[in-house]
Amino acid sequence: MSAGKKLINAVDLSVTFKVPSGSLRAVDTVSFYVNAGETVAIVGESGSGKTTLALSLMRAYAPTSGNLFFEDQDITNLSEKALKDFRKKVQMVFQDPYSSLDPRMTVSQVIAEPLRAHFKLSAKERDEKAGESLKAVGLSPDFLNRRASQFSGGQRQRIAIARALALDPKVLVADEPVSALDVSTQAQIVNLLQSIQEERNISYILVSHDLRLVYHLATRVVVMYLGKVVEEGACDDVVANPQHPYTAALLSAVPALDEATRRDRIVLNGAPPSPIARPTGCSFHPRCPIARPECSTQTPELQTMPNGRKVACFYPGELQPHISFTSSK
Amino acid sequence: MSKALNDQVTPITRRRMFKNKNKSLLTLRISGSILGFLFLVAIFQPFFYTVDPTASDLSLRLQSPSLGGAVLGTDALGQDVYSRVIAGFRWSLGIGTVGTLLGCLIGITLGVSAAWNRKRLRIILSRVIDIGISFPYLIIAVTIVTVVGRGFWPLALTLGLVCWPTIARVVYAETLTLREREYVTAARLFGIGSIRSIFTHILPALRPTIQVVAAFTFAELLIAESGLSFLGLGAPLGTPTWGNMLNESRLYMESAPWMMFGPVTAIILTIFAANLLGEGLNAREQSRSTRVSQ
Amino acid sequence: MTTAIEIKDLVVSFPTPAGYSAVVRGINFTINPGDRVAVVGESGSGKTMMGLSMLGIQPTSAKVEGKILIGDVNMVSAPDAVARKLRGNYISMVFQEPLTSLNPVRTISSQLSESVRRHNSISKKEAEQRVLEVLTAVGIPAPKERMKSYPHQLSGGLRQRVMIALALINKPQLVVADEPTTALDATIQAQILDLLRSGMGDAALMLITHDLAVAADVCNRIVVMYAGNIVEQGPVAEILSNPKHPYTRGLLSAIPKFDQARPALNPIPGSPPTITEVVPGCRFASRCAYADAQCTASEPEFINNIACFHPVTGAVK
Repeated sequence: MSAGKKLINAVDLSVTFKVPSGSLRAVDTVSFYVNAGETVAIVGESGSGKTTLALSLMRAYAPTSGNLFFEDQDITNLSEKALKDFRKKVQMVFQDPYSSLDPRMTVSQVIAEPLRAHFKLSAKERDEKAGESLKAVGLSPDFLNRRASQFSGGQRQRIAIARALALDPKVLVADEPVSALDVSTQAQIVNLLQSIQEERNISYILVSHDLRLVYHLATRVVVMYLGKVVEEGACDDVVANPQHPYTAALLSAVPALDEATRRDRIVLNGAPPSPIARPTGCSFHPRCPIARPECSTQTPELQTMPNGRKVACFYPGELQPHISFTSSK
Repeated sequence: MSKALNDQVTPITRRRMFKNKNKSLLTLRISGSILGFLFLVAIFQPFFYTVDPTASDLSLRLQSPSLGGAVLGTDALGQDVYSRVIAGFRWSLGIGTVGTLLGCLIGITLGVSAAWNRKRLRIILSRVIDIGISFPYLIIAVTIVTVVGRGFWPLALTLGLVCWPTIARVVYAETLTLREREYVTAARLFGIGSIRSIFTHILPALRPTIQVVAAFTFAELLIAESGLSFLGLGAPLGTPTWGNMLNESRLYMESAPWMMFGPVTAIILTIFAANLLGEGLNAREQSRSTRVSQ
Repeated sequence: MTTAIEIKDLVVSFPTPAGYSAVVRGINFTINPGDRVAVVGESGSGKTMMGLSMLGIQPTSAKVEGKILIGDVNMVSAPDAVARKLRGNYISMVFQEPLTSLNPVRTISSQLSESVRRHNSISKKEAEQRVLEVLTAVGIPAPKERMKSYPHQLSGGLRQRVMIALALINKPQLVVADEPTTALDATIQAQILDLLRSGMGDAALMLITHDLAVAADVCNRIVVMYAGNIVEQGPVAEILSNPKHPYTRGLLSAIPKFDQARPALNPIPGSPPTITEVVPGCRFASRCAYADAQCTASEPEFINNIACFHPVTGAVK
């Protein structure tokens, strides 16, 4: 894990959408960064803004306010043309392997598509590169001429990963990369992602709701609720000692293989609120098991603690989940 | 649960797919053969004549059909009806094809542009399409005839200008859906420009729909051509086209009804084949889309 | 009744170009009153088709053979009129996506009352009372007001609670829940799992899921299915601490856990056979690390709660 240069650095990013009933602040003043070789996980539920954040880190659209830097260059408002270089270095893998590949294209065309956008290649060169990429994700180059629609979910996701790696990017944004797959296939893809990272020293931005997966893959975790970051820190620390009650509840909600965790589960009331109708004060207070009167009137800011952890709560660390750690040593 | 259904096509759908596929295959074969034959006739026209279609022999005028002589009789100027019907092929099929192609060119360009662009341009273009649809085609026809005159190309132009709005609207609706597909977003995030994305992802996906619309449009243009020629806005007087022949036969409906039979049969046969082709293509596309997951 | 449901030699097959192919290949098991049984399997295991057949709502092209006994009624051969009396009454179902399973143009109250009154001759007022009771039991806040809402006005979690209420309203013997929490957020899933675990009343629960952890969280017995067969069955604690079938062991070691050493996951190589694939011998053999000649020659019978020639012992690493 290398310290130092931030590859992607978002400062006070906000993304607001106009909807018929008003304006929707999907991402609210979020600062986010990822270093070379790191895996940062963005965790949250519906309405948290995690996918919007991930897309804005990829400059899928220009943020409403704030700045986005890539390798120290300000790319906040660059035109698509100027972004071409950036697009080579930051790629994405989507959640649904059935809709993220054009079913009419052959595997070779799918994988080579990003290459064609940036380089002039002959058909032979394309097939060669695509064949290499396929091998790198554990598929046979014989698949090159088959249509994407003929493959299973797990295979398609491998093809999607091969496509994302075709340009040798520095950062890969993975939005729920395995949640549409079977358990045994998930494990295959997770292992694949890990080995690719070891080989190429790629950074991952992993958007996921599955905390077990996050714990397994991520070095740093950012927890989002209703568009804001509520907690951020090293993965091990956050899971062992969550400071924000929402993080504690999320950890507690993981289906448990053991009795004790189940018994002490923190169950929240209600559902994640809609970003259009935000609660006053701390946006989590209506569901918070340890909410006090001032939580409904004052909004806690994201504070940095001595050990580097960031929390936005007036009573950090009070609510602790019971999690059983296994240790295979 | 959807994973299971996607990875292994539910057997019910598979059976329906077989039925559709067989039906469409038969339909396509029949319509394809008929149209193929008709186009063949159009290309090799002269071989099918019995007599010169414009050879008029006033002594033979208005003769009823006889197997030995004029198979379909002769018209008011003594011209052989059968040969004139044959002569009409090139004109009618030609006009239909050129008009359809022109309509597709304009329609696809405007439809895709309207669906692809951001708000303002989209609103403008879709309004243009709406206006186009409601615009009465006779006015277009009369205007062009007045400005350019009568003939093959003016008529083809008219027909192209008449049919593009419907094509545009279908393309517009379909492109709007296709645009939202995840693989299109993915392409943009890889740095692929709009134009390339349209040619790689949108147009190939539109192809089946366009084929179907084109087939039906072709049929409609044939009717339109006949109608315009009938009204005197099409081919110059005397040219052997089906519409003109219908026009000529008007006065003799009671005395020489055979003047009508030839062109009417030809029109109906061609339209039937074109519509059948459209149906067959449609059925094939339905069976395909149940196979390709989503 | 002594059993809530008894399944004997159930075979569910579909017509394919190659003739009828079975998705459920002859399974036997029993659910007793008050049991909470999880049927765990991945796509292609046949678990969903089994659930649908139990209620008699499988696709019309499916051919069902064997016995599904609820009391002395065999759902496989029973005439539709008889099956309808049982459906929603003795056996009910909770689906994965409540939006598509609830009628969008009718209020919650009207859908629930309709179900009660179909199986009991009570007045409208009594039905509403019952609706209120069950909505409170499943934890819907302000049930009197919520009753009058339409499904789309409720959040995903609340809708799923309504589905559970609909399943429970006639005090059934068995509730079949097919992936009831897969489409829900993590914290909402926790709520619903709690409800499924302790809110079923006297009804037995059959939870169909692909997630072993969800199964362990809610149920006291686990049935593992693979490619149309039951491969292992047993109490939750047993299955988790000492799984004997290589597939069960594979599933367990493929799930990421909160393990500080972060060992690489052990995926099961390969993929399950397709429904038309003819496999001589054990359907899992091609992916099994312990398979030998016996395994590829003949299919193991389901004896002593396991279908395997070489059951493994010891904890999963």
